[in-house]
Amino acid sequence: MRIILLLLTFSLVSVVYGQQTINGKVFDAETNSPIPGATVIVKDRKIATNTDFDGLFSLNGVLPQDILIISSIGFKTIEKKVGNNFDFKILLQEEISALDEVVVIGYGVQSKKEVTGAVSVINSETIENIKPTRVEQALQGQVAGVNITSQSGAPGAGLDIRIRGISTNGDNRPLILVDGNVIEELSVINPSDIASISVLKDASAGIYGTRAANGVILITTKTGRLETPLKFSYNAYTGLQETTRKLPLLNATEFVLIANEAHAAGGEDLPFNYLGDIGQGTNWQDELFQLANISSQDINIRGGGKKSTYSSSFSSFSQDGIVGGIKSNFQRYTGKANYSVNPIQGLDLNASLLYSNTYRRTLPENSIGSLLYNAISMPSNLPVYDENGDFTRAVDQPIEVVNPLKQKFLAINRTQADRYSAVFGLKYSVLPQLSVKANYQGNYTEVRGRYYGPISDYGVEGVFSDKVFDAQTAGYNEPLDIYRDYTLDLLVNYEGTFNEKHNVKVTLGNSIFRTYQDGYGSIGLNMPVISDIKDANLADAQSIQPIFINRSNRLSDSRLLSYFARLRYDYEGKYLLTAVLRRDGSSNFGPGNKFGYFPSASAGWVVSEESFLENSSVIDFLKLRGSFGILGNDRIGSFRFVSLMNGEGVYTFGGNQLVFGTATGALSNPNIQWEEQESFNVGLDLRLFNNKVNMTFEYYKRTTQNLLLVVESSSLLGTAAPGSGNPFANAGTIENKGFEFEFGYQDTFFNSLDFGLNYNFSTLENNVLVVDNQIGYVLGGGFGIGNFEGPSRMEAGFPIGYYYGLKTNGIFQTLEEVDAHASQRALGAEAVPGDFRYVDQDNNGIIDENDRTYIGDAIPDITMGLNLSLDYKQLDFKAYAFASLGSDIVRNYERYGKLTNRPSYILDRWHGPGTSNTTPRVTTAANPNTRFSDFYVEDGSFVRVQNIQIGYTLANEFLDIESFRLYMSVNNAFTFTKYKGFDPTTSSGAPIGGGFDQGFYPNPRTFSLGVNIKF
Amino acid sequence: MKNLKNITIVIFTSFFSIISCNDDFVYVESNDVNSEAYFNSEEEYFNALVGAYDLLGMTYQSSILGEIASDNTLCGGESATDVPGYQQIDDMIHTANNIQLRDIFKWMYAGLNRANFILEFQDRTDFEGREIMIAEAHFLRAYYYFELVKWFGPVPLVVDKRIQYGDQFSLPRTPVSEIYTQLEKDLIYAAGILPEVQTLVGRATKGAALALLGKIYLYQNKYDEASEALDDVIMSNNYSLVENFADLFENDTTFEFENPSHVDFDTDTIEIEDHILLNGKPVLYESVAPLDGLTSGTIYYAIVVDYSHIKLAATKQDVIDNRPIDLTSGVASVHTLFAQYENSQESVFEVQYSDMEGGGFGCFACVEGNIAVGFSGIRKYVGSPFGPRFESGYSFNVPTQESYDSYNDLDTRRDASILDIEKWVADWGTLGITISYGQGYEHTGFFNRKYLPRKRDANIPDPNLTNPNNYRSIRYADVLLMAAEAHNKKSSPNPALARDYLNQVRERAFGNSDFNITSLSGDALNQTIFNERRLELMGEGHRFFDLVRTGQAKNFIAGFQEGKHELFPIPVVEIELTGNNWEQNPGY
Repeated sequence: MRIILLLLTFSLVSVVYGQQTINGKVFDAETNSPIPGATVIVKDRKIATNTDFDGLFSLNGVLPQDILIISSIGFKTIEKKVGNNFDFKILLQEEISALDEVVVIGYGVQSKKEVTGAVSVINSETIENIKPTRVEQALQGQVAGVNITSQSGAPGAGLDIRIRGISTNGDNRPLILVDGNVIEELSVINPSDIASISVLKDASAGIYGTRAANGVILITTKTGRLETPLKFSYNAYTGLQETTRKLPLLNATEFVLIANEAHAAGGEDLPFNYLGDIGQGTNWQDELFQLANISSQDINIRGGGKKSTYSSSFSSFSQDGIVGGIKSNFQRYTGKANYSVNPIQGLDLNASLLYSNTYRRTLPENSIGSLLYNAISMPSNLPVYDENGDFTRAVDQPIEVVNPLKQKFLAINRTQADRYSAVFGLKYSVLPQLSVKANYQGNYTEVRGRYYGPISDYGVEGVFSDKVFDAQTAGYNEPLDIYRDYTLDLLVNYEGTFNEKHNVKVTLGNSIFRTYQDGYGSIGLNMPVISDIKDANLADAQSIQPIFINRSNRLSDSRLLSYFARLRYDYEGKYLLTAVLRRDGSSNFGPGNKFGYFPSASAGWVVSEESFLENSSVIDFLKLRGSFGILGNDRIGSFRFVSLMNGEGVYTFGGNQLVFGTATGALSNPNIQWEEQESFNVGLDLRLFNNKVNMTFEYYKRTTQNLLLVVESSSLLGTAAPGSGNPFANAGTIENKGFEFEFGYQDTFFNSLDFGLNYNFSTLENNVLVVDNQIGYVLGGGFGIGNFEGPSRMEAGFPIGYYYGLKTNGIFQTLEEVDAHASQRALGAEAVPGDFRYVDQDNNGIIDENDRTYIGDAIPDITMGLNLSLDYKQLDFKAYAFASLGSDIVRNYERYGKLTNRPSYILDRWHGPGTSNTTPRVTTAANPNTRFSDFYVEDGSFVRVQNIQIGYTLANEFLDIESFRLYMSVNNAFTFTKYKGFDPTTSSGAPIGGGFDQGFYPNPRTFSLGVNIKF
Repeated sequence: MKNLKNITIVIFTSFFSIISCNDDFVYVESNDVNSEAYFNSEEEYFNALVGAYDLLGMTYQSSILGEIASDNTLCGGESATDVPGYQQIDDMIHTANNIQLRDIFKWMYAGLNRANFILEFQDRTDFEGREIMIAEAHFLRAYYYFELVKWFGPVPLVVDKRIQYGDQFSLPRTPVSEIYTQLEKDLIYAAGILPEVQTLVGRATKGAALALLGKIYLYQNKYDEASEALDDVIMSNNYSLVENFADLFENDTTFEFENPSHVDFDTDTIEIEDHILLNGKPVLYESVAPLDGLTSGTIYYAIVVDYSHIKLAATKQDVIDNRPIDLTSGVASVHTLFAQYENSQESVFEVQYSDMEGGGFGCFACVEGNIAVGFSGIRKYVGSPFGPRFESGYSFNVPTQESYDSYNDLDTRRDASILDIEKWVADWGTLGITISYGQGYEHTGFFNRKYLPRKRDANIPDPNLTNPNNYRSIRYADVLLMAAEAHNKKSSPNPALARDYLNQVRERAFGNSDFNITSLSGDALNQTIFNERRLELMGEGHRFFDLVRTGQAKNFIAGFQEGKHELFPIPVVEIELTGNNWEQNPGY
């Protein structure tokens, strides 16, 4: 901030008085080429001139306090104060009316005006403002109907994109194409390379037929332009991250009191006799959370000659974790180069290469016994280190509870991913109306894991079986996965206009896609002691065993063969129609089921083009549109229609040596076929008041039929054998419907205050209509230890993955109340006063697993996003927030051991009649209170202010560069929620069981300082 | 320029011809062998057989639950809600929603499907030794089905083919008698082909098939047939009782020392462990490789000093006199001494476990260790400077005081079967070694010593799931007691032979013949044999089923309802998943 003030002062003092002659040159800001014929007027005085052929102008008698107005057709008019400048370099930005903006759609582009599907666009400006560390974050809260959840706040962790709800209990990921290239792992893309993101939400994604059922995200990256000189841009930021939240837990004094009370209630000896000044004790969260660095740099070069364009970029990114610091570091390096040329008239060739290299270190997270779980469970009366300076041992704790700092110390691993992508394209225009195009995209990815399992002695010293993580020997696992895929597209495009009114565009295409994975790697036993993963060497192991034995290394091979045709027709740009037919063949289905036909159509009516609205002063643009289509989904993994010898069969025959046999793998189902989704959408686009206001309304309904479910099947089939599993079957129907509203407002006040506001709102109603697997439900999730099977379910009549448990109805205050209620013995113990009173759903006088019912679900009912921007001269301010309402999260990070720590809400426990009707008593005795019930289900609604940013752009008069902007920003600034856990935005992403919080790694709050330079 | 144009057209044409491939593109074969095209070589048969053996590991659930369900043990665990499925079975309040019961159902069907898979393709490829593998598949199928019948009664019987998707809706529950008839056929067939000694330890032998056959006859009260089958095992002379009962349930132990000079021969350190660990009895070891300076092939005697120190002696007397071999000429070399307690001369059939692979709670079926052992372990068992003999576990399956008291004080089986933890701690305390332990739910002070986690080397995560203790499924002592029962109950009873078999077991237990049964016959002898089964097989998972098959369960098990608890409920999910065609077992 101080720098900015200094610069401000500097620019203010440099005003000097006196009449003068000034010279200048006007450029196109984008291409850097001179603009001839631009008008330069001195404001409020009758002095004006035009630029010459080279963009030069000259004016006499200008005063320092004068203001120049520079304008040219097709460019935004700008004003400039003369000051003490004599020589001006003026850059004009191209003015693109929002309606002429080009939107990337499947296999082509379309002007926004002509779009008939539900397509949302995010431009590079938004991405620059948000400063995402991963591309997915740029979508969070920006687009109605798109919900982003992070699997974890750990550096490099994945995010889940869900477009318009959850349509399957399988793979819900949308199809993502970067410049037409299928990229499933978005961590490899540097966000500042992105020019725009289009999100295809409805049947207009049908051009991608298969794989489009979960929506399509089209990302285009920045490329050069013809006849522009070399341009550089450089972006960098550095920042500090901290945790957004620490849970209120019992301090040592409170812990000792509660532990004694629990033991007394359980009829056991008090564990703590001395009740003097115990103090606060250890706050394990303070010990574990830390400030962590984040830094990013990228450089981009672009330019073009008469016949060719080029661009190239490099980036590096490094982020430490707020838990673990360098132990959960993520690094990414990317390099990218594009080149395109048209050597002869009508022929375009382009090639691009992308390389990325990522390193990631991880710590155990979101599981029972993970670091944060243990930071919550470790009692506050224990110090971090014992009297010898060693990590304190969690001796009296349950088997998964260990010193989390020792866990951090012993975490020695790294995953390295190298990815090479290449794209080659040829386009030839046979006639002006007719062109053919061929594209090849290929990706090669090597993921090499290096996981060292050190000698671990967490419990009592020298006892290696006290804790689940204990190991007396060191092991090492070095898997190597190689992923390859390629896509070949052939397109024929025809564009024609008849009678000047009928516009026809036809695309015919053929596309093939293949993706396959090979798995290699070895496990080493009895490794030497190391402290850095760089020193891990498989050759040092006493014995080495390959990971895949008696089965092929080819783990998957999926192919698609598609033919498609698209017709776009419009009548005077007023009546719009698009129709698509696609035939897809997938290798994931058996003979007879491989091929499917997927039609879709959309239509639009630009009402504002009609004569009755043509002269409206309010309505600038009004379009009604609708779409309907059938989309397919085949993403179930390869060869599930055929029974293969890829299971596990291991036995030992005397001695202590494993013998590896072979067995059948997961159960096959030869009848599986395409999952089909009917997608219906109606929308309305509206622009008002001279384009200052724009609005979009959408209503959609997606019904997914023949859902490819892994169905629980009879155990007679042998599904419980190692390496086996339940088969896929087309056995369900899910409906997602909702309403979306996007609102934008843009205006300039006082000539120089630009104000922008974007707001989006979506509702989502998810309902499972059919689960056709005899039992009528699919199970998932896990709560606590030794609890009910399947606390999360997919079942007809409920949202997918709803929580299935006991309902509580207060707490028994007296024995009379206990006696008057159904017996709870089957839950583990007869109830006593202070225990939950569970609702006897089946009214049979016994509370047991049959009394479970709906107690919440993880799907938000409403999501919203709000973007605000204020630009005043060289200062800019941006803020954005998003909200999610109506989701539930299961609090599942408490261990309930006799001597484990507890969140401080337990201070409000029941401890005598009338003391509490919500929080049960504490006791070490058998009790039914930890069975899965609505007590553990919390409202996960939240509002998050995700980004606040202030920037200052230096006047280019002082520096011979196009722009130089400095900014400060806070990411993940505030979250307003009632949820007690770390972070309400995280979810494992699993459609069934994703909302169980076992100590989610919270998303960090980041304070950063950055610079954007263009020259 | 024109040339270039032509070139591009050529490129295009070739592009199109490459890409415009036909539908064959999406007809892909996996590199993994299709299971219909398997069984083309001896190796493939063997690999499939290993797969069929694999599920034997999952019979751990039967062995631990067979105890918990009986009057031998209480459930235990960390708390009353630790594995609710176990707790409910202990209290006889289990329902058809029990996860652990479903595990038994699931795993046994998984195993028998793998055996049936081999049998479905038994004739595809011929090679020498094929019949033995086929016979083993018959044995395994019988083994898995027998578990199912014991727990659930009538279950669908399918032979010589896999149960394929779709079949499950039309398979009725087969009457128990029909299943038993099939199992008898399988085992008679297997016994006719299987060798008396197998090429690999742990593979089913002729004796194993006959013993299981005898057991299945016994469960059907077919005493004549049972006595014949069991006599065949006894007469084969392939089996004998291990001399010292306490040795029976130890893990195999391999001692390695690189340089003999590292062996600690300091006589001062000998006293503590040898006599207590090995009950004062020198144990015979064989040196695999000759020690330098000593004659090749010599049998040496050794005393275990502790788990990293051994003492060698040339004769038994040397051991007793504490005279070690002079190893001063020793050159660095590795010597392996191997104590064999597992797959001993008493082992008729033994389920093999290993601690060479880690395991987790996520996939029990993938674990190669004996899961029941870690669950039965002493909670938070800690010793200083090292914990003698045992390692800690989850304190399930704890024997009752009544079980402990059912033994005669002079019966060596009592302390070898049931660990009195207080006495153990006190005994070691007098030697200056401190042991501590935690008390779990329903702590009785007793643990199932036969299947406690032993101290060992390969402690890899999760050490409580990967214990290598083999499950002694059918021991020769069991065969003797079954034969005794059969001979006393058969149509023309032979109480003298029954007493002889019984007394073999008792003499080993007491170390002398003072406690032999000399005169009993008829029901009195039946009851004595029955009691002997409890004492001999305590902790081995047989008690509940012995009580049920002899109709005595209600007299011994609290909460046992006659007409209901003889069988466990078919998991309700399994009934639903097969189309609701099955009737639930009575009472559930």
